[in-house]
Amino acid sequence: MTNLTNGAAPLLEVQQVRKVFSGAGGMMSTQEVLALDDVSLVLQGDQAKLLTIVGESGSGKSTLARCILGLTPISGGSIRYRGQEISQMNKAELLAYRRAVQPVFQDPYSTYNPFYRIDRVLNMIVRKFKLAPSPKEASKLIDEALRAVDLRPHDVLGRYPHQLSGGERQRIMLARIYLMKPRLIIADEPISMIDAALRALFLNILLDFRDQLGISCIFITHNLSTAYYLGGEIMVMCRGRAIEEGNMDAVIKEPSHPYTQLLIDSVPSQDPRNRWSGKRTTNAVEASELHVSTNSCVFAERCPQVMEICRTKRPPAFTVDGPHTADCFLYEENGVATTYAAAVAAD
Amino acid sequence: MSENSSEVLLKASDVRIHYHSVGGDYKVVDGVDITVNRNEIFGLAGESGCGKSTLVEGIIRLIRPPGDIVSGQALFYPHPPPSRAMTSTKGNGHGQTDPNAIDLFAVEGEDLRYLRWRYISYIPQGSMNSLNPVMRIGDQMMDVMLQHSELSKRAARERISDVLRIVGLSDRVMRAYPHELSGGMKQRVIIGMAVTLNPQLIVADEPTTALDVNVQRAVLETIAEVKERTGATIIFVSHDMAVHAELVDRLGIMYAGEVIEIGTVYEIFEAPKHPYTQRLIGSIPDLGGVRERLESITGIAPSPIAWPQGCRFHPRCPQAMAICSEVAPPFFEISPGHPVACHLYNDPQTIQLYENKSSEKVVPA
Repeated sequence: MTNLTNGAAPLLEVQQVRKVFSGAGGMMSTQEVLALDDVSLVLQGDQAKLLTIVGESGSGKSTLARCILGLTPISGGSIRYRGQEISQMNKAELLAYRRAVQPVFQDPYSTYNPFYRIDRVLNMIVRKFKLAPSPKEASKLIDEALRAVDLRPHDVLGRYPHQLSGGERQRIMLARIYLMKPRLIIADEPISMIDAALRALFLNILLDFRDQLGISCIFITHNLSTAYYLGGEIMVMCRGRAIEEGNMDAVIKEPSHPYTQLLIDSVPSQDPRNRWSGKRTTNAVEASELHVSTNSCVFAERCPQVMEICRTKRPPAFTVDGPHTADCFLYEENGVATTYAAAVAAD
Repeated sequence: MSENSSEVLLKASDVRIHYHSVGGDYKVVDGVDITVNRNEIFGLAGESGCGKSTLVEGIIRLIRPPGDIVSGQALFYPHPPPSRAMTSTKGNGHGQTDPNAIDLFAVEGEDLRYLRWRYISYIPQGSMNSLNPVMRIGDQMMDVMLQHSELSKRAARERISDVLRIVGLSDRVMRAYPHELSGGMKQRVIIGMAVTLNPQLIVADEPTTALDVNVQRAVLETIAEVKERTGATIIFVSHDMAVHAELVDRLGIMYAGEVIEIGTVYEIFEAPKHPYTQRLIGSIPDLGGVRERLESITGIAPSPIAWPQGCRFHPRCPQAMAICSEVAPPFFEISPGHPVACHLYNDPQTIQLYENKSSEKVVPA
């Protein structure tokens, strides 16, 4: 076990995590689903980082978020926070971990208790984590937090959750995070249920949190335009595996894995003079329509450039260019990647 | 006018749909005029709560109490017209004169049933969940056809197989139960059902929301294909501006129960006029483009129980003037077929100035 005081330990280290759900075919079924298949990622703690995980539904991205948050036990591998395995933490350590790593979930409608006013969500945090010495200080702090997420305190305080819009509720979650000042936010599709006009606001707040408060973020989305806007690093997931990783600009502008290429080609262009028409897609098959073996590339059945080896062997992460890697045999000649995450995974 | 109207399939005017409650009326749709031309895809965009779904639900007459179509008419000009005599064509108190027009707001009972599926079909929001879980896909499609047309079972079966091909599914799907299909396949089945009886108008409400990007692409391409192959007209409701850019021919932008700008997809995306439309387009990140900090629309969406006075967007509008909080703006025609409801365009000179220096705020004297 790594020493807790070791300053060099990464903020978060996810190493070859596997998650198997059994009984997926019904109560009596013995069918197993591999939701996470050897996923590794590293967030260094030296400065605040933004890592975006993209993938279609069923790719395992939400499962990964739940595993990191400690809400779902992992079936194999390890998740370490500053060198400490989260499954081995004692009660006090776990409380500290939960304070340092904060979630924002997808559905802002179901995260609130409908019987209590919004104030309670914020007050409880102040009290539980003893953030303010007096009620007066507490209310000042809450006002500041609400303003930080572009809400006017008198607009939201005293209201019930049903009286607020999705975007407002999601921003209250961010105000909560502002109060907690965690090290890491795990945001699982936080903007998919809020209006387009308010999405930019939410994303800008996350960027400000990173730049001004030094809060790192793992942002999970299926929306590539959103991912691109955030910048930072990206990890593309497909059927439980991380199949391409790298710097956001490198991956979006020069996608290497045929799966990433398919995803990027499918994004609406926002330019009515540059539509898809005539470029009709042929491989819009969904992941759930296919069976995948563990000894092949997860995308082999749908890949326009599939080779023989793709169906018989699982591709490791090959280098594309620098830290940009792709789990695809097209890049075999570049050699197996030696990035930190890949090196950890290879241990 | 008569030349023009042969191109028009649907002309809705002064549509007001309110929800009655003890606290007052929720004026969800509050005075909307839209015209939809034959064989076009007409998009409706806006934030949630702007009334876009309620408007189309009104047009296909799905509003149930406490919802109420308070006023307006929705004239439908099917071509060829239905052989069945419609009660609404025999004068309905709206003073409408065209003998071929059917006021959808006046049609009742059997007539309404006759129009549904055959003339107007609907792809509801989250429609992939509207399939019956204990019936095979083929039987569900068959039900629609036998109930709403005179086709024989045999002819219906052939038609189902044709329709499945149009939406890119194989015949195998007929024997499947809904749980055996993925979300995108179910969505395509629903689109298939909507086109089985060759309706002239298809209303699609957020048909691609909650689908993965690659599946969304397949579904949007299916809709474009349906329009090409069946000659249908489609009203396409979505909050996603990028999807509109990809699919629609003309676009209406709604805000707070009103349509505030209408134009071709090129006019709206290349030269949006209303400050709200500009912000709506400015708030979508561009994949692979220059990374600039996006503008968002600040402030809180207004409530349908008490819309703001004057222009309903004025409390959130960065270009609001004194008049905006007092007088509701009429439509100003920027160019033929491109109306915008905004005081900024009151003066011809303002239009000129604005177009010359689009980045500058121009406040007329």
